[in-house]
Amino acid sequence: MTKMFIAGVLALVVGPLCVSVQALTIEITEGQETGMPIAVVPFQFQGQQRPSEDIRQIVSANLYRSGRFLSLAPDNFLRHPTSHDQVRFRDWRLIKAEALVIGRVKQVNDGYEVSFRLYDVYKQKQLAGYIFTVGSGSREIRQIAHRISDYIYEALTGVPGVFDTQIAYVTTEGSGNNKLYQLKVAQSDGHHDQTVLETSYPVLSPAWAPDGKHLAYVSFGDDKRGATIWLQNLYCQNCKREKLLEERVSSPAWSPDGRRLAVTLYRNGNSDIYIIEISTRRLRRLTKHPGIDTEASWSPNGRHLVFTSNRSGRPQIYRISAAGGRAERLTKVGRENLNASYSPDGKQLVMVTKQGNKYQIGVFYVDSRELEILTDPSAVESPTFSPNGAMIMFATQKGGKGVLVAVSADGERQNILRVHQGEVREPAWSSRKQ
Amino acid sequence: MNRAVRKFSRPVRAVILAVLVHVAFGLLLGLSLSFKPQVIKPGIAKPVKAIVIDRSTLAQEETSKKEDEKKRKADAEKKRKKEAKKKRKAEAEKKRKKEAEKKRKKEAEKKRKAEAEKKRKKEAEKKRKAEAEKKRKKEAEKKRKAEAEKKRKKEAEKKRKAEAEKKRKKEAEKKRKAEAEKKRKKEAEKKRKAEAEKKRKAEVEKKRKAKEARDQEKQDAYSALNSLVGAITGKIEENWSDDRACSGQEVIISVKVNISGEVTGVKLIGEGGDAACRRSAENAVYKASPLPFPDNPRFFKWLDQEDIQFKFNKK
Repeated sequence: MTKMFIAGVLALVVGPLCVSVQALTIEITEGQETGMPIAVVPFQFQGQQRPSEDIRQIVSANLYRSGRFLSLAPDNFLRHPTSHDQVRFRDWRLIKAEALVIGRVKQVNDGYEVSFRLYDVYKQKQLAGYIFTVGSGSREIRQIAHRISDYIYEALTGVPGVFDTQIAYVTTEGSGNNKLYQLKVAQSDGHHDQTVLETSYPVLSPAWAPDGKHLAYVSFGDDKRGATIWLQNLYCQNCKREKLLEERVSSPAWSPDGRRLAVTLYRNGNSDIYIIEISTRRLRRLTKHPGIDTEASWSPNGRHLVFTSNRSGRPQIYRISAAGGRAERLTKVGRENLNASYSPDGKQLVMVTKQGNKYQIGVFYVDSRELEILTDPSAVESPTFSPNGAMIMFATQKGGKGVLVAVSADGERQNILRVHQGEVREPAWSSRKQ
Repeated sequence: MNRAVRKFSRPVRAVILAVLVHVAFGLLLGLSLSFKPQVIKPGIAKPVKAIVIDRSTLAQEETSKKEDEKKRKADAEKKRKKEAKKKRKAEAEKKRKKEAEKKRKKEAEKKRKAEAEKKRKKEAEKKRKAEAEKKRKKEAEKKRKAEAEKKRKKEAEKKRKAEAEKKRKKEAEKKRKAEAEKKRKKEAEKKRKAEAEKKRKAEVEKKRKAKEARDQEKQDAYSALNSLVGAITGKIEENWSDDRACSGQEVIISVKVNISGEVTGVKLIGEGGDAACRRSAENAVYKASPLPFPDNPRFFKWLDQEDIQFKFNKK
């Protein structure tokens, strides 16, 4: 992994009377991708009833899962400081920790007071420090742990953390007429799932609105007349789900401004991409090709959409202006490429790529048009970037069970978030904090 | 002329006096001695003052008078013998004699005139001679004086020349000495300068050698460090735990190390990289401490002058 790259190393000009020696410049072009070694010291507990969740463990696991950190095992810590006065940076330099997290959990009336401090070991200074008051519920404790993880992540990487976000996905249980479909929402690590919808009819394609409150999904109405796009505000207890469009429709995708949805409509024996204005329900046809065009996804700047089309014979990824016009084929490598979506910076597309007979996660670089295979061959589907682009989540099957997997964007770290007895499909990552 | 006559008349008178005295004493002596009397010419009764005579003139005159006497006697004899004839021929003779006398007188006059002339001439000659003598003497004197002057001048010239020569020599000597001094000084200066130059060159050479040695040492130091670049790079890369922090960024870090390679200072150069990238790069350097580093103390003083720069650059 360590490649030596020495460029412009040393210029020695030797003359009879003059020796000019230039300062040494060493170019470091490649390091490790093990992540920043971080020591998260077990939080000190003060009180009678310990919280049901281990905050240190959640934070440590979150950071590790992101791929950007290497959580050091507490066994190797020389000391377990829990207050600022106890911190001796030398101890942490010895085990080559670059960052140190200490914290306390104190039992208060109805819950806990959780505090933490983050230190830069080599700069010997505190980078962050917060104190929270939470209830005693497991879900709240976990959420505080996620929030702490986000602070740490952002302080050290400069990128907002997305641990305190939600994912939505669809599970299927049973078979035949006893099939049960559930639309679920969980914390980003898959914990504390809540069922939004439970039905015997298929539920497809949940999609988070940019506001992180609304969810669009496809299901069938009670009258079974056809697929319907529903909009649901998850944070409104008394709000009813709203029917947006009722015809043969699939794959809703929110525009970045949250005012439109790109959808696939099957009309007159042809699947095309349409854009529906949410407030007016007005439809505009975007693609007009006789082939199947589906699974649209907006670029973060809203100017383009990518979609899957079989117009060349097999599914490939195309790009079209949001204003319409001619679609451009992006993917040229791979037997099939489908189900593409943009990274938050718009530079990459994550998609399912069929190499040989296996479906894999591929990351496509929009500028260079290169496709990088991210995962080992397996039956994968519905990959999606985390809102900060650091991770990719996708669904797959393992041993007859549905599994949600989070992988670091470089593919180095895979973590199973959720294992379900039935199928787990079409995960969607909310951009908004809980 | 008169003065001259007077001048000469005094000695003549003296001579005459002297003669008279001699004669007188001679007479007195002759009284007692057998003495052969000398004829003393008579007749010099004439005042001598009118005529300038000298001894030869006197002699001539004497001779002439003798002859006149003689002739007179002969004539008288002849006259007596021939009285008869004379008487007969008296008249004729008388006439002839008159004629003769006239002639003789004429002759005498002529002779006298000749004599006078001669005398005049003689006088003139004498005068001329005197004049000549005087002139000669004057000339001689003049010549002498001229000679003397010439000699004096010559002497003076000689002296002057001698003086001049002396002076010249003195000057020359002085000049020579000055030249010599000048030359000596010049030589000394030259020598001094040569010494100084030599010393300066030696200094320069010494400095050059020292510089060369320093340069060599510096070069060696950097070579030693250069040979460790791979090891340094490797150690930094090993410790750069999260290169994605610098994805698409470049950050330059200037690092100071001590002789053991321990990182003693880390400084960011420029504005490159975000906070996370900078932190990850700085941490890589800190964690890699001590860096592989030449442990030669002689090298350190060179290597200590410049920080090592690390350019973290993840494509």
